[in-house]
Formats: sequence, structure tokens, C-alpha cells
Amino acid sequence: MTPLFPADPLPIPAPVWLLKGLAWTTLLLHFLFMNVVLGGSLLSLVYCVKGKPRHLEAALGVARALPSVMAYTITFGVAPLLFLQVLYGPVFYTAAVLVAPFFLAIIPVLILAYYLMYLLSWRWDKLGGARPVLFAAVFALLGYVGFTYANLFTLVCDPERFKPLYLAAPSGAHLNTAEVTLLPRLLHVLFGAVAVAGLFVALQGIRKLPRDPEQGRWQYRSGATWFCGATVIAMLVGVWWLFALPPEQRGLFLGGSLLGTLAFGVGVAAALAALVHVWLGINSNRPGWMLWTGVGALAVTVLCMLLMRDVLRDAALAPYWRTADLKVEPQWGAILLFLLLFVGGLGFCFWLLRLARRAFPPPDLPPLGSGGYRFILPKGPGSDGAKGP
Amino acid sequence: MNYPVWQVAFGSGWLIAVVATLHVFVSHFAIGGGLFLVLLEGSAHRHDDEALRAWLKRHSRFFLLLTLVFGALTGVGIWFTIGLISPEATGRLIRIFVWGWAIEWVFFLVEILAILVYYYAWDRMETLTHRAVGWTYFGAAWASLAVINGILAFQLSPGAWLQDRSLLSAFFNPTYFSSLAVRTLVCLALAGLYALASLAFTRNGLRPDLVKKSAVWVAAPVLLLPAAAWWYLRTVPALQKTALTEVFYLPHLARTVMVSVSLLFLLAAVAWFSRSKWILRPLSVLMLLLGFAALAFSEWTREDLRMPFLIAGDTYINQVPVARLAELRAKGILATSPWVSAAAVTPQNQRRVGEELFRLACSHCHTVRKGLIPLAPKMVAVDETFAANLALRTDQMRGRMPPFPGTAEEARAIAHYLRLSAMPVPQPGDGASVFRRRCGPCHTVSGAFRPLAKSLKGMAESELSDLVQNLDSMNDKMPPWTGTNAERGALCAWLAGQVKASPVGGAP
Ligand code: HEC
Ligand code: HEC
Repeated sequence: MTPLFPADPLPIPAPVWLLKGLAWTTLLLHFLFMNVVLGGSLLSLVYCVKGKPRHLEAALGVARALPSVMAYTITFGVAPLLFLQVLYGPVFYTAAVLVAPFFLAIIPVLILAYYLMYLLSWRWDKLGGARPVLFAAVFALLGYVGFTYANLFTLVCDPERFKPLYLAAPSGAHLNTAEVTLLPRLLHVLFGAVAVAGLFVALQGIRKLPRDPEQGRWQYRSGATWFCGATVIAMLVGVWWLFALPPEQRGLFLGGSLLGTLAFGVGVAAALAALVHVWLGINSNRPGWMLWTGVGALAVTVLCMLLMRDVLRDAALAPYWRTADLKVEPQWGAILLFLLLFVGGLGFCFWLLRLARRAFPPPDLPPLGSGGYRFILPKGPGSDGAKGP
Repeated sequence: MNYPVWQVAFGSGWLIAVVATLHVFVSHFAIGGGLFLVLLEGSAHRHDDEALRAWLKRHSRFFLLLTLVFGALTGVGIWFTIGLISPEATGRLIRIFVWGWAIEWVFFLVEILAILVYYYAWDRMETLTHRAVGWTYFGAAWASLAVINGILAFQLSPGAWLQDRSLLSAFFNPTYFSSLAVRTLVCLALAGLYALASLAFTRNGLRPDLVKKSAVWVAAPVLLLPAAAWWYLRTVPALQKTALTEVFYLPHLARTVMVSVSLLFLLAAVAWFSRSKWILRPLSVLMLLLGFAALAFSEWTREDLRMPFLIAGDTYINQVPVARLAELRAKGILATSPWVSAAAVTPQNQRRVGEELFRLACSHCHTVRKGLIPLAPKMVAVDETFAANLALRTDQMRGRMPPFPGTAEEARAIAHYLRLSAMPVPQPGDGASVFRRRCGPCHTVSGAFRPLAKSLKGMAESELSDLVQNLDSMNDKMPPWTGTNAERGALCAWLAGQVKASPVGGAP
């Protein structure tokens, strides 16, 4: 029989490690931003339903940020997809053809979600009762995108099924819902997203502390509580996912693959570290610091998850497609130019961010320092500061 | 044939066309519009013109919503679409140009941050800094055009890359600079078009001076466009340019573009004089539509110039790399593609396999019954042997088709399947109809495409009849005559009359 994915005579123009490294870096950022928009819309929906002024204030903060975070979700989503196409082109394109209509529908769905975000962000005051509906719509639309990608990328790992699926319906109306890991995978991502969104709300709370200590403190506690709760659930779902995997794939993370096992171990440890830090931060006198270390630990977790995903995919694809077998002829000149421009581009970005910071200065109250203690600690019995979300 | 072909209702061609045209119309505005904003902001600053600043601020809101959301996502949409419809060519382009795309992405990153800062910081920065942000946006946006233009132009004119495989030759290919010039002018004109519409529909009073300025933004680049287009056509490789004579509708298409562009110029002049919103509103909408039409038709022309390739000289539109054609023709599609259900054609599987082969080899441009260029009705109008012979000779026919990438049995399976997919209808037996069915796919009598009048001039009907009976012995590109004797008689009588009447044939 002819091989499913014949080798392409055209070489790939960069070493595999470089492409993978860039894919991982950009994907990490994509996941972080994506979690904020996906989880943020859900969390804001909950806040809007609860409906007290402080809830609405927190939801407004998320709504204001959504469109810009979305812009970066998309930008940082495009890059890994590009590198992925160099590394796994034939496998990816073929799987995409199998889910083609769903895959292509992502574009109009995203456009709609994006415009709804702008509506929420720019017309907040006029929306009133429509807010929860809009948040729910944004969440549902983004959920569709996540669902489709989960289908696509689980399908990518299962080339065995490509041919029968294609011959059964070449119009590409397949989803991969028969996949047993699909549900835990989706739930894991969903709770992870809520956790990250909680962190985002907490960060906005920290920023509000000097101007509006009451709200800032409440938002910190609420966001952090959501983070901790959702993280614990996501970890439990992760265990489910792990056991839903076929034994030989699960084994990769339990000693079978060095990178896989390391990523698994470090990932879990970092998640626990994030959990502890954010939790302790609730009553700490340096909440900002605790929170940011939490964010750092979380980023490590996401990076590890992403590496595990990569290990899993490479193992599943090994009989069909091995990136190590690709013919490589690096275009060093172009790579150098890219790196130079990348550094230059980052320079421009920092300059722009600095301008933005100056244009939107944080209110100039005394720096937090130990002062944060005053705002953060529950004021003793009778105070409302101790209430969770 | 390395990839499965996604089956799209009504043909996949329209899908790409729709996504691409929408994107082009917005993304070019995203570039020109950026320049428009910073330049006018400068003018507002110099003349201390608060009203202008206020309008620019509103205009930039519309700009942000349109370009950042719709423009950016339809760009991703094109990429998704070509990956689905042309995975082979997309994969090849990505392997050649991944660093080009990566560089474009860097510009994109800067572009997005710059436009966000520009919009949100209107009243929160010094004008100088704000304009620097605007210039950063425009610079990055134009630079990303300059990169992507290299890849688009490469598809039409890979030039020296076909031999030397160097990235530099691929990028700075023969149509690179000329198409960059055309696209840059389009960006500027679109900025003016959108500005006119934005002015006409603003709630405040009309500012005649701004209307005039915007009209000039349309008229000036439009005035230069013909020269740029001429330059562009000069740089298009000769082989691709033959489409202009071979594809009968292309001259009309090109003329439509020219007419719309000239009209745009005239209407810009009318806009220059308009003082009333009630004139400017319909006018600006009309101008946007004209601009859209001109752009859509010129992109269509460019695509047709490239046929039958996706990367000229390298990859055919039906995902066959030129380098693999000989192998495919020798071994067949069934033996080399994983995306079929059988390894050989048998009488039992002929229909099913024919459908699969049609999908792999022809469905990029054809549908079966409905949609883009349906084939079943044409195939059912002739006998199966002739139909199979046509399928085998796609590269000889009108339509700039790629060569058939398989064996004779496979071509017959396609013909068999197509003929079973339409109801046979009685075919008219007059000479003109017979010619259309049996010679028309490859000849005209005295038209542009492989005319016969000259070589048939002076032949008697009986000589013609002999000739038609022995077509395949004349050259191996022609299929043997498989029609009935009655058809042959009608054909030759009609042909003799036509040849005599045609200017070349009639002269002694
Ligand atoms: C580049 C896209 C393209 C591909 C691929 C393609 N065709 Fe065509 N085909 C055309 C165009 C364009 C025409 C001309 C339509 C016209 O001028 O009326 C055409 C016309 C034809 C005709 C003549 C119809 C007539 O009587 O005028 C036949 C037969 C045909 N194609 C068969 C095939 C077969 C079989 C395949 C697959 C092996 C194929 N084509 C692949 C574009 C394509
Ligand atoms: C599948 C395409 C095809 C069909 C159908 C076809 N021809 Fe041709 N014919 C060709 C090609 C290609 C040539 C030119 C070969 C060359 O130049 O080497 C040609 C050449 C000729 C010539 C030689 C003179 C010249 O100008 O080169 C005549 C006469 C001719 N065809 C007549 C006919 C007639 C009559 C019919 C219809 C019964 C017909 N052909 C059908 C492809 C076709």
C-alpha cells in the first residue's frame, strides 16, 4: 500500500528544534491569552448573573480587556499553526480536510465573538440586562472554537482512521467525538481557563487596590478563590484524562519518555506551587508579589502541559510521520533576518507598551508595600472583606 | 495526489474567491487608511483643527473595528481555506517561505499593538508621540504587505527559483516590484474611498475641504494605476500571459476593470465638487462598490493568468507537482494515491472509482452537475470513448487545464462516472452542434483558440470527411472519430460552409 504521507522532496528551511522552540513559545502565550478570553467570558457571565455592583465592576474590567486580549490570542495562535504546518504539514492538512466545514466555520465564529466583545467593551453602560446574554454568547462561540480544535488535534493523532473517514464522506463533515479522551481534554481546558481568568480578575483587583481598596480587595479574593477552586478541579480532570489515555501513551508520562515524565512532574509541581502562592496571597501583605509568582508558576505549568501534548503527538504519529526524518536545509540568512526583526519588533512593542503605560498611568497613591496589608487583611469580625465570590 | 481533496458544494473555487476578495478589500484599506490617518492628524495639528481631530478619532474607531477584526480574521481565513483546498501547494509555499511568513508575523505583532495604542490613546498623548505610533502602525502594515506580496507574486512568476531554488530568487521574482506598486496604489485609493464614505455618513456637518482631500486620495492613485498595471503585465511571464488571448472572458474582465477604474476617477471628480451629504452618500457607496468590483475582477484575472498552476511551473491547481506528472501518468493515480478505495479499475468498481478520481483530479475547477463548470452534461452528450479521450487530453482543450495526471483506464473511469451522473438528452444533429461537441473543446473555426479555417481552406466536403475519419492518424493529440456517420456528414457540410465564409478560408 502507498504510505499515507509520502515524504516531500522539498526540504524544511530550519532545524526542527528551532521550529519547535518557536512553536512552543508562541503557543504558550496563545494558551495564556486564550484562557483569559475563554474563562473570562464564563466568569463574567457568572458575575453578571450574581449582579451585585462589585460583581459588575469585576465583569466590566474583564469586558474592557477582552478585545485586546483577543487580538493577541489570535496573533499568538497564528504563529504556532504556521510552524506546525512546517513540521507536520501532511498530517495536519489531511486531518483538517476531514473536519473541513467545522474548521472553516471557526473564522466567522471568531469574527462574531470578537465583535460581541467590542460591543461589551464599548457599550457596557447601555447594555444592562443584555450583558449576561452577550457573555454567554461569547463563551459559546469561543467554546465552539475550542471544541473544534480539540476534535482536530485529537484526530491528528489518529491517522489510522483518516482513510475510512475520508472515503465515507469527502465533504469533511466529521468530528472526532468518538475519541474517549475528548471530554476530559475539553473539561481540563475549560477549568484551566476559568482558573487563569480568576487570576486575571485578581490581577485587576491588585491594580485597583490603591484607588478603590474595597473593590480591589474583594476582586483579589474572588479571583483567587476561583483560581484555586478551578485549578483543583482541573487537576482532578487531568487525572481522568491521564487514565483515559491508552496505557502505552499514559506510560510516556510515567517514565516512558524522559521529556514527557519531566514535563508531567514539573507541571504538576508548578501547578501546586501556583495554587499555594495564590492561596497564601489572599491573606498576605504582599499580594501582588504572591500573585505574580503564581502567574509565573502557572506559565511553567502551561508550558509543561504543552510539552506533554507534543510528546503525546510525536509518539502517536511515530509509525506515520517523524519530524526527525524531515529533510532539513536551513535558510540561515532568512532565519537571521527573522531573529533580527523579531528583536527589533519586540523593541517596538516595549516602546509602545511604555507609551501606553504612560498614557494610562495607575493612580498615584502610595506604593503598596506593607500598605497592602491594611487593604488585604480581613478587618476582623463584621467586615465584609472575608467573603468569597 | 498526496492529499485527499475536500469536496465542496458547487465547487471549491468560489470559496477561495469569496474569502480572498473580502480580505483584500479590507486589508489594503488597513494599510492605506493608516497613512491617511497620520497624515491628516498632522494637518489637524498644524492648523489647530479640533473638528478634524474629532473626526479622525471617530474614523479611527471604524478603522479599528474593520481592520483589526474583519481584516485580520479573514486573512487567517484565506490561510485556512487554501490549506484545505490546496494542501499540496500550501505546504510547498510554507516550506519555501516559512521565514517570510514568520517575518510578516513580526510586523503583524507590532501593527496590532500600534493600532490599539493609537486608538486608545487619542487624547492621552502628545500629538508628536501619537503620530509616531501611527507611523509605526503604517510602517509595519506596509512592510507586511511587502512580505506577503513576495509570496503571492511568486505563485504567478517563480522565475529563476525553478532552477536555482534560492529564496532570494523566489522572493524577488519577476512580478514582485510591479505588483507591489499596484498594491500600494490600491491601498491609497481605498483609504480615500473609505474616508469618503465615513465623511458622508458621519452625523456632523459635511466638511467640503475633507471631502476634497479624500477625493484626491482616490483620484491620484487611480490616475497612476494604468501605468502600474501596464508595468505589471509586462513583467508577467509570456507563458502565463497567453491566457489573455486563450480564455475568452479575460479580455472582457480586463475591460471591466479598466472601465470601473476610469469611472472611479470621474466619480472622484464629482465627489470633489459635492457639497451635500445627500449626494455624497449614494456616491460614496457607489464608489466603494466600483472599487470592490475592480479589485475582485483584477484578482480574478491574476488567478486566471496563473492557471493551470497554483505555483507556475511547479504545482498544478489539482495538487499535482509538475515533477511527479510523468510518474502519475505512467503508474496511475490509483496506484500512487492513498485516498482512493481501490488499486485498479475493474468493471465492477468503475463508477465508484471514477467518482473518486474525478474528485482528486478535476473537482478543483469542475462540479458534476451544478455549480462551477459542470461536466456531466457535456460528457453525456457524446459517446463514452470520446468522453474518455477528452478526459485524457485535458491539456489540449480550452480552459487551461492541467494535463491528465493518470492512465487511460482512469480517464475512462471518470468519463464513465460522469456519464452516469446526468440524464441523457437527445442531442441536436446539426453541424454546428456536432462541431461544438466533438471539435469545439479544442478548436474554433476562425477564433483565437486553435482555429481550423486556415488549414481547412479550399477543402471539399469529401476531403473533409476523410480527414475527420482519420483525425487520430493526423496527430496523436487528437482523439479518433467515434461519432456516427450522420454526425460526420452534418459536421463536414457545416464546416465547409463556415470555412468558406470565414475571412481566411474564403480568400482564394
Ligand atoms: C484549471 C482548472 C481545471 C481543471 C483542474 C480541470 N478543468 Fe476541465 N475545464 C476547465 C475550464 C476553465 C474549461 C473551459 C470551460 C469553457 O471554456 O467553456 C474546462 C473544460 C473542460 C471540458 C470541455 C467542456 C466543453 O465541452 O467545453 C472537459 C471535457 C473537461 N474540462 C474535462 C476535465 C477533466 C476530465 C478534468 C480532470 C481530469 C478537468 N477537466 C480538470 C478547467 C479545469
Ligand atoms: C482533444 C482535443 C482535440 C479535439 C477534440 C480535436 N482536435 Fe483537432 N487538433 C488538436 C490539436 C492539439 C491539434 C494540433 C496538433 C499540433 O499542432 O501538433 C489539432 C490539429 C487539427 C488539425 C490540423 C491543422 C492545424 O491547424 O493544426 C485539424 C484539421 C483538426 N485538428 C481538425 C479537427 C476536427 C475537425 C475536430 C473535430 C472532429 C478536431 N480536430 C477535434 C486537438 C483536438
